[in-house]
Amino acid sequence: MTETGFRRCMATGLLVHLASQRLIVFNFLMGIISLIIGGIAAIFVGLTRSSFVLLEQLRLEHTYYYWLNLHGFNMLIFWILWFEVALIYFVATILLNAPLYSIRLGWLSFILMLIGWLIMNVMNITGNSIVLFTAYIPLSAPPIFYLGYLLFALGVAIAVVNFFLTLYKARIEGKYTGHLPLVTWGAGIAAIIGLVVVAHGVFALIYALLFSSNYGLKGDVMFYRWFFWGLGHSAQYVNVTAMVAVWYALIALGTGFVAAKFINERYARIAFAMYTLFVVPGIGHHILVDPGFSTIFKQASGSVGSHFLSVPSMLHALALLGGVEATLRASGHTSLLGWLKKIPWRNPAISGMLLSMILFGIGGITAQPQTTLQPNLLFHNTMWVPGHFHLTVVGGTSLAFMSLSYYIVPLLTEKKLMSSKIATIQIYLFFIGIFILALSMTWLGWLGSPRRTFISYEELIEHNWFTPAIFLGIGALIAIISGILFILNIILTILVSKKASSATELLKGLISPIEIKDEKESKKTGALVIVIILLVIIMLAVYFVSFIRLEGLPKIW
Amino acid sequence: MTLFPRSLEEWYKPFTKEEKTWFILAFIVAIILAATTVGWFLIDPYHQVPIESYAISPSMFDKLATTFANLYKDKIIPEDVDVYIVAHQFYFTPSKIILKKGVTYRIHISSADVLHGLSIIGKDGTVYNLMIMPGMAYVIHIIFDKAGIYDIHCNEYCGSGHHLMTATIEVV
Repeated sequence: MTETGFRRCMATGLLVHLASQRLIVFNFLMGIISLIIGGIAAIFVGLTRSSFVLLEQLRLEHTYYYWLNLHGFNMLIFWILWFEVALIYFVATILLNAPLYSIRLGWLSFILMLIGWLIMNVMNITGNSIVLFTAYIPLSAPPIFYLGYLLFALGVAIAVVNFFLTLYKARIEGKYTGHLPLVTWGAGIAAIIGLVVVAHGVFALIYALLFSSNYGLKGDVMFYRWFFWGLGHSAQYVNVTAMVAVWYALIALGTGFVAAKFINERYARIAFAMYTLFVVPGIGHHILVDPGFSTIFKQASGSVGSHFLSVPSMLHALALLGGVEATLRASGHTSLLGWLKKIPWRNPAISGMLLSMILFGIGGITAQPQTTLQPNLLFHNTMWVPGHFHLTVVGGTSLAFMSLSYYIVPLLTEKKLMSSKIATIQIYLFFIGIFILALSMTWLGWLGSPRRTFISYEELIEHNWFTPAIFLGIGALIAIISGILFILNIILTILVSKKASSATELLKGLISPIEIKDEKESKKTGALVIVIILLVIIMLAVYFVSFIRLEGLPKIW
Repeated sequence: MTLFPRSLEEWYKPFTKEEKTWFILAFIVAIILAATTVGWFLIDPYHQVPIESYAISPSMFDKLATTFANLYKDKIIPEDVDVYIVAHQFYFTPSKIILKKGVTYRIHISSADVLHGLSIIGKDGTVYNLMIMPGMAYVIHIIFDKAGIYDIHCNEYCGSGHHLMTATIEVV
């Protein structure tokens, strides 16, 4: 018997609180709407930035920053944050058999975020706030824009508080026994970092608001930049932590919970906790080539802090890949790398998780030189930077979130996914698209092409930026097609698909169970070899190559 | 079961040999990365992020750079003269400087209005990127060893005409 206001999930047997579920779905849908707006803008940004459209008139010189602005806010802030709010509600309520601490607070948060979202998007769409994601003062938007930003941030903060109160209430009311699930633990770490983000963000935004309202505040851009990046980069660590938590959910969901047994959760939990240590010391890598900060401060707060921030991500790489290997070895594939062939590559969760890990890993490799004091001279504000974050946030976080959506939407709506085959195809297309897009950006960055800058055809030719720019356009188009497939699949599932009558029907095509023969046969040597090649040898090679390149350039000090 | 609550006994397991190795290795990699950037000061003091900077009002710096630009228009800048470049929305003053190769120049750079960026992009693969801040002048020591044209480009979004902000360094 289920209590009133709850339903029993047919696939997992978990208790689902219906009012909380409604909030999850609404937040998720707002994420999808933001993804659509950001995706439309991406078409224009991608085509303008590439040399794909050769006619100068069609390359939209005057609207480039307009679309870039719309793309940045909707993708990096709205799509990801709406999804993350849905995610923290999901892991705190459904996974713990508990209702949300306060449904009213949940709706208050939703409405504040919605008002902030509306204000910012209206300002963006009408072209009144083209300050781009960073919004550095003294360049400023009308005060109402910052007010919208603050309302959105306040909404997110309330959602985070609601999440922690839900965890507390579920614990004292004994809704679950034992410790939090690993995924909830990871999302909790993301929420803690989220509070750091909101604290910095409120400071930076109120400062910008006062500056833009002309109350005689003499804006100090150094000061603003520090606090802005306390928001801007720490927020990316919320995304990283949430993404890793999603990876752990995907590995469990995709294999019908089989592979989850082979994850060393203690290892994973320690790695999660380590993210909180270096987030604030990591802010400084944005000011490495600014005048006015001392070198010791730059190095301690930027380079060194950021290098240690990569340690937990490296640990997760082994924990997850090792989990996959151990599972497959236990099912009878005992050679060093032979298990790679036996991975259920067609499963949307497993392929989503692994492809997202690959892109995130490459993003981590390109991050090392750019976060370091001296090589930052080569990469600061070049296309290397968007190359890096399209690998980590788009290829990593967004891909993981898309992959999880294929499971969350059927589970919440109790409807069969429109097409699990197209889901898998979409994931591969997205991987290929972002891989080409981001590596062309990295290539352009290596050649010194500045980011967030319209580049004329003559300049593309003059600096040999033409070829990578063509690839950038191809990658962007593939990723956009993949994005359309994702949105159609999700929307048609919600609107058209029929209710499933049983768990098997609901999860058809989504689960690839692995048959375990001998649990003791669970080595992780192959995974160790892979991470050593990628994250030690290649990472250090790229890092040292950028130092060697610096050596051949004019002397500067 | 990563998705379900677990008791301590279920999740608190010893690390395997591979996991222990990787734990140590990950820290070693981070230490190598961090040690390299610190050690680079000893290895090569002449490929470093400039450290000299001073506070100055945007209008004062604008005057300095404009005077400089008028004085050395189309002239080779002598060895012992400091170079001044000011960034405006959406142009640099002076828009072209002529430097001698093999000479150490001190280039003072600041902004007259909003945040800008300085990219020096050369045909020989030279790429340097720095920030240009209003109210704070950056002093860059630089030696060009090869003659040629180096393009200057603003690399920080500064408004609708951002991409028009270019200038030239000619090295003779």
